[in-house]
This record gives sequence, C-alpha cells and structure tokens, in this order.
Amino acid sequence: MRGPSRQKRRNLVGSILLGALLYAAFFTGGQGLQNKKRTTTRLLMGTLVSITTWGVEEEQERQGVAAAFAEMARIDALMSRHQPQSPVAQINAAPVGSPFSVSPELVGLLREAWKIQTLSQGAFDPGLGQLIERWGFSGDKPPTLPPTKAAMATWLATFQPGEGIVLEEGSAGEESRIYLTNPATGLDLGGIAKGYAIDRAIFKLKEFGITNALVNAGGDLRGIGHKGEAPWRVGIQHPREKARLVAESQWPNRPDTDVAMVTSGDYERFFIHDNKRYHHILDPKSGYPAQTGLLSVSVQANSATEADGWSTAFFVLGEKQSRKLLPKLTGVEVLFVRQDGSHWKSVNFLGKWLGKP
Amino acid sequence: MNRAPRPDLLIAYLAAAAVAAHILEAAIPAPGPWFKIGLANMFTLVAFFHLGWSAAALVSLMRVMAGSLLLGTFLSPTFFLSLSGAIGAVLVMGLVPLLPFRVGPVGVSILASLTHMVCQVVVAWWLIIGHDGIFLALPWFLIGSWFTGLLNGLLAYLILTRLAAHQSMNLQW
Amino acid sequence: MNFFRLLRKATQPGDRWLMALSALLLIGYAGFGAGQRGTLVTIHRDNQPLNRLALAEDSSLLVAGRLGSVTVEVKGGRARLLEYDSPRMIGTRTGWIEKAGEIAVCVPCGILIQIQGEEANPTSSKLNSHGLDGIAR
Repeated sequence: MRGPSRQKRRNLVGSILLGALLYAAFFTGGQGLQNKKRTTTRLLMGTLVSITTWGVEEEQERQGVAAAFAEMARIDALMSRHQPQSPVAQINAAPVGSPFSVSPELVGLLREAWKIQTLSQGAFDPGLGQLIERWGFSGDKPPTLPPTKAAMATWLATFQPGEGIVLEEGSAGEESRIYLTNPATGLDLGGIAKGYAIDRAIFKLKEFGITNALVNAGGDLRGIGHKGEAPWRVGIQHPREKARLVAESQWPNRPDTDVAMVTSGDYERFFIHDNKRYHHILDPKSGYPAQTGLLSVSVQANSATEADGWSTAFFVLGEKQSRKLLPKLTGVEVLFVRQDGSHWKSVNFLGKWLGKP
Repeated sequence: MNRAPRPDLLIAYLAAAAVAAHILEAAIPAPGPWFKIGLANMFTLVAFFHLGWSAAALVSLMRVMAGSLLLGTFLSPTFFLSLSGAIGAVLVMGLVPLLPFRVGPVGVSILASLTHMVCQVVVAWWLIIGHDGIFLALPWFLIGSWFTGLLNGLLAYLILTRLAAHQSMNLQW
Repeated sequence: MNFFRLLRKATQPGDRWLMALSALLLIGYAGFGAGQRGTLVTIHRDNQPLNRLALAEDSSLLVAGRLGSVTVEVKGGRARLLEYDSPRMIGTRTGWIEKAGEIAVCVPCGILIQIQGEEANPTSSKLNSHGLDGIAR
C-alpha cells in the first residue's frame, strides 16, 4: 500500500490517537483521580465526626462507614453520664458501695484509665464526674461562672484522688462489678471515651476490609494506610485563631501506617469570667482548670485511646513533668504549644511547625 | 551567510539560544512555577520545522538539562516537572505527521504547550502535592498554556520566515 | 490589526482547526469538568435531612433546633447559620459557606447545613487549598 491510501491510514490512526490523548489529558486528569477519596460526616458524640476512606469500592465503603458510625454511637451511649440507661450513669446513680455489673469492655477501659492515672501520678483521673458536674462543662449549655468556693471546698475535702472506684473481678464465667466508695467520686471516662470510639471505628472499618481510612472526631484523629501514592496529611489548628494552622502533619506513606493523634487545649471548652479563662481540663489536685503555661498538647500514639488519655494527662502535668515521663512510654510522641507561642515537640512527632502563633 | 549551516551546528545554536532564553526568563519574577511563558520553546519549534523531530527532541532535552545545571535545579523537583513536560511535548510533536491535516508552528506549539502543562501537573500531583486540589486549577493553567503556546508559535513562525529569507531555503511544513 | 494579520499569515487551516478544537475543549473542561460550585444547601437535624434551599435565590428559613429556633440564611450564593446562643459552634468554617461539601454546624442545636454541588465527591475547600485531609484541634 503506497501513496495516498497509506497517508490516509496514518491520518486516521493519528486522529484517533490525538482525540484519545486530548480526551484522556483533559478529562481524566480532572475527574478520575479525584473520585477515590470519600468522606462522610455525622453529628456524633456532641461533635462533628468525619470518616474518610480512599480507594474503596462504593458499596463496601457505605457499609463499612455505616458500621463504624453505629459503633461510635454505641460507645457514646455506653459512656454517657446523662443517659439513664448507660452503665456509667447507673454506676454513678447507685448508692455508695452498691456494685453494678459491667461488661468486659468497660472493665478494659477502666483498667486503661487507671494505667494512665498511675503512670501520670494522678494527673489523669477517671473519677472526676462530680467535679465536672459542678463546673458544668458537660451540659448542653456551656457554663459562664465558676462553681462557688463553698462547693469547691466540700468537693476537695471529700474527694480522694486515686481512690473511690472499686473493681470486683468476676471469677470465671461471672461478670465483673464496679462500685463507688466516695460520694465525691463520679465515674467519668470522658478523658479516653472519644479515643476509644475512634479506635473501635477503625476496628469496624478494618472488619469491612477497609485499610486506608482517616477517622476525625471533632479534631481527634486516627489514620490507617494512605491514599495510594500520597500519605494522609493533617493540619493542627491554631489554639487561638480557628482559621489558621499551627503545624502540618504527614503520616508515613505506607500501607501499614497507623497513627492516632489527639489534642487537648484550653480553647475547646471554656468561658471567661472576670478576665480569667476557665477551661475544661481540670486538675484533680486543685479542682480547678490546670494552669501549666500551655495552650495545647497534641499527642501521637499507637491507639487513639492512649493518645486521648495522655493528651489530658500531659496538659495537667505540664511540660516539664511530662517530658520526664516520656522515656517511660513507648510509641508516645508529643507537641506542646506554650502560652508564649513557643513550642516543643518530641523527636518522633510527625509534624512540621508552621510558625509562631 | 548564503549557505545553510550544517544541521548539527544549527541544533547547537538553537539549543544554546533556548538555554539562554530559559535563563533570561528565569530571572523574571513570576507568581509561581506555572506562570512561565516558556520562550525557550520557540527554538524547539524552529528545530522541528527546519530539521525534523529528532532535532527538536535534542534541542528540547538539551535545554532542560543545561538549563537546570546552570540554574542549579538539576535533579530537583522543578527539574523533574520540566523534564516530564518536555518529554510529553516532544512525544506529542512526534504525532504531528499522523494528523490528517497540515499544521504549522502555531498549531504544534499550542498542542505541545497544553501537553507540557498536563504532564507537569500530573507529575507534580504524583510526586509533590499529593492531593486532588491541584486539578481544580488545571483548566485555568491550560487556558494560560493555550495563549503562551500561541505566542511561542507566532514567534517561531517569525524566526522561521526570517531564516528562510536569509538562507533562501525551501521551507515547507 | 497587525496582530490578526500576522496570525492569519502564520497559520494554516490545520492550525486554526486545532486552535478552535483545543479552545472548545478547554472551555468545556473549565466550565463543567472540574467545577465545584454549590447549587443548594441541605439542612439536617440530628443527622436526618430536614430541608433544602437553593443557593441561587436569597432566602432565609427558620428551623427548629434542640434549643430553640435557628435561622438558615442564603444570600449571594452563600449560606450560613444564624445562631444566637451557642459559643460551641463547631464546623469546618464559621460564617458563610459556599463551596460544595462545606459544612456549618450548631452542635447543641443538632443542626447541620451542608452545601451540595455538581461534584460527586465534594471536599471542603479549605482542606483542598492546603492539601489536607483533616484538621486536628
């Protein structure tokens, strides 16, 4: 085949190739690469919870995410001090000394809380329910006044840090029981509840075969896997200016990545009275909001439960004590943002400081 | 000069001119790596229409290599963006003979310019940026590329006609 | 004009065809392919869809929240929650929202509003512009 018909053939091939190239370049570049990441957002646990997955087939994603949200709602109900049927509420409502049967799950959580309490020398305390009640931070309407001196005095006089909650382990086959021994003690696992819910959400996602996901519950997050060729990237909000970031964190770009990060700050729940800021992270020793010269503490750990507990503990302990504690903990990394705008972060903390607040 | 210079010398001149243009352009402050006119490309186009595809490929790649070495960006992310864009553009130029119609410097330039931008953005997304937001900007970048392609094509045309006038060579495309 | 005469001299029919085709494709792509502008705002109460408002028309709607009424306002293609008493307003952006996927929330009220766009998978514009998948706080 020579001459004009050969040229015609080449022209046809060329036109098709050109058309295909143009189509591929213009449309695929914009569309195809975007649709693999999906985010679902719900109002849960009193805050916004988002679950983002990458590269998961639509139906599988829908089911996995629904299961994860359902699990988080279940834990929210379990931990609630206000819903009368929740185990925690019932333990708190029972008269001092009368035991209440609990599930192994609750036992495990209490033990985890106690572990952090011991290691932090009491900075983290799962028995602050009554104190929190007096401050009013857990109600729907935020407080505007600190509790009266009298109310604080009676609480301080009665409360015994480190005591007040007793666990009776059931022998084989029997349920364990928990009861309170001090009227000033209230069981409150809020310090690790959100972290635990996040861990369970990830567990459910994995059950549905989802291995690349990011669960973000009101600013506390845990990410597994990555987004194909790119890692999960997270910004840490500025403690004072909501629209700004104070640091940027990039998880490792590997399929086996698993990082949890929880931040405790004096800006999450607070009120200002008489020119003084009263925030919700209470020091069990004084009964008042911890004043340790910090704006926020961000902790990265292997589980969100640990990260949640330690971020509270470190905030109460303050930077110096916390740093002394760090070598004893495995897999825990921390970023302190101090009141003067400076910061300190541990060696393996994943995150790049973006500039002075 | 009445005689046309040897092809390999002409390639060298064009490559040198391209590198010079590239460096001159780098001195002009621009809002970002995407906002360049790419004047160096006009010499690649001249090579394409005057000497053929392989000459154009040589000029283009030599410009990327020498340019990055001189500017100190060799093997940096910018370099890979540049290189990927250049490779894409060169490959697309190779498809030009397959087209069912004849195109001149303007058409080829626009085609190469758009391809260059798409390749750069995809490589940037893949290697550097890692999130999909960049694709929101792509249509606007491409519109810019269309115009710079037009400009470079016109400039190449001007050079080619003057070359023809001086060398009294038969210039056909 | 000088420029257009040059243009005509410098181009062949093939060039012009290519120019026109690529220009058309680009305009189509810019207009429809990658757009993420919002078209309506959906209002949810306790995660149940309650109502929707088109962003094209200015309007305001009184919605019953858990603590009283909340106004959802649409103006100039944007939407916002006019809340009155909740300092704990948590959302990815306070104030006006307009891009597909953006959310504003009044947590104690149980009200959430979200912009729906033409995109199948909207992402928050703030996250997009930083290249982030989430904000920790």
